[in-house]
Amino acid sequence: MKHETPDPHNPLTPAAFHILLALADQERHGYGIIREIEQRTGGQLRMAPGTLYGAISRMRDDGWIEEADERPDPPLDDQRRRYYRLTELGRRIATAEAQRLASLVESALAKRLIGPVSHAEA
Amino acid sequence: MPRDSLRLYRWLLMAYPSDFRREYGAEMIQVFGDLRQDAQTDGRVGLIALWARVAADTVITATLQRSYQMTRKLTSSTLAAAVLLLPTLIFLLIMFTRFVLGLEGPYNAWERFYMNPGLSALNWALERFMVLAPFGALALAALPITHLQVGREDGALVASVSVKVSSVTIGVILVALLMIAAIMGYGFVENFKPV
Repeated sequence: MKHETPDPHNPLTPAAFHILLALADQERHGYGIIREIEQRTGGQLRMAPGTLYGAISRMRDDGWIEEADERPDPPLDDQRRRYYRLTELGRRIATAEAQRLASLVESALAKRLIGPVSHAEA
Repeated sequence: MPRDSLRLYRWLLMAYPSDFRREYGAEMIQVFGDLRQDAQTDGRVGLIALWARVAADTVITATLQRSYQMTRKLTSSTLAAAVLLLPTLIFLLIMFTRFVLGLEGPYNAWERFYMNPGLSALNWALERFMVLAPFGALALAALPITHLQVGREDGALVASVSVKVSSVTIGVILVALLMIAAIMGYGFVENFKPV
């Protein structure tokens, strides 16, 4: 199913959202995406190559991400590596998903399922 | 050992569709190499954990990727052709269970339906549909694979025919041809039984 516009009732898969998040601040290659997700989740999510490139393939088909020309990771640079970046559509999809999750967290807060999360805790 | 594991991973990638392998195979091998280097810092346990994760991931994602590519290749006419083949396929399966496997149950149920005088008009239509459907399916699946283009080049009329065919279409065409052969064979046996 092709997402051409952000749909608040159609949540993304966790893998897709994590990849979009990893690319939100800079272009990255496949291994860079895996490392960023692993670091951000404290090692709880370790993506394997099949999941990563399956998601990348679908997101490129849907126009959410594209291959980047810039090579912003000099220590790990290798001409064979391809870097990926968010497209405008991909950014809108990621923003819509983040807002959907934020409103869910607000509901959980309102129902006292969780307490306010400070940045120090997070 | 590192070279062997890369070779083994390259072999595992055969599970993915060829289009996907061509596009991402080299990158996946490179990423696997990076992950293996990371895992080596945890020794043998790290490598075993990595292989367990990668093997399970390959089984799941290769299956998903194959079904995803198949759905993309399935055109509406191929899908319609497959649906057209269903009644004939069910009929042939019933005949197969009776004449090859010797099971009477499905055949008896079919015969009760077929001999029901209240349904004679429906059965008359169904009988013709089952004979004609494989031909219709063949046409539906085969026609969209050829594209005729007519244009003018240096004042002369030029026509070219291009053929684009997917594995799914080939499958539907083969099944339709097999069904036509089976229906004709069944008709021959039913009408020219040795006395």
